Amino acid sequence: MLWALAQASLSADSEIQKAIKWAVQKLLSLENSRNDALHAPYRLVHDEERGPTMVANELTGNKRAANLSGRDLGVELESYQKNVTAVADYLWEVVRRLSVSGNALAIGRFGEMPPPPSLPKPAQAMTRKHPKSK
Amino acid sequence: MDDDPEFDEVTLTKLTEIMELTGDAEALGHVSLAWTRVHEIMAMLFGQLLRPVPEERAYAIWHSI
Repeated sequence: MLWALAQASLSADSEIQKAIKWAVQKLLSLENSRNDALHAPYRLVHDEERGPTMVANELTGNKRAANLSGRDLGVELESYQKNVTAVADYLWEVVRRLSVSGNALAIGRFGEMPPPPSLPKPAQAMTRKHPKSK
Repeated sequence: MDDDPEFDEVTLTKLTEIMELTGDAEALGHVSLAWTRVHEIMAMLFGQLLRPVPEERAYAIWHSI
């Protein structure tokens, strides 16, 4: 809905439209990770190094739990939170500039938008295996 | 019950488990809050792009879906 409005309201080469397009695309991919994290069933296991540990319960056959298979939940969640926050901060910069200008078409008067932030993947999370139950 | 060492061990184990789960639950909460924040910002942006439509009407449209 936001992207449709941005397309209808702004020229294709405007800084604001480019920023919104970038954010919407990133959020679409982050949404799946977010849903995996928040909707997967979990179980408690005992890890030899870390003690009691919460892991996605893929034994249920749940697809979202399967997507988290073999990943370190803590690293995943921290990564999701940081990446979503980075997108939010970038969009907040758009809101701030629009608030100052009072007009989306006048955004050029206030300089170009900074480049979008990088959103690193939780590489560490991909390498760690499930802790084994005792 | 304080003198029962078995009870203390069980209690300690349970408390340790709760502490571990609290950290994971907190992390899940942070993800949820971050997601809520980005949606609030998108709602504000939606309102700005819809100007001169009053903000309350823009938010009514945004939150209807």
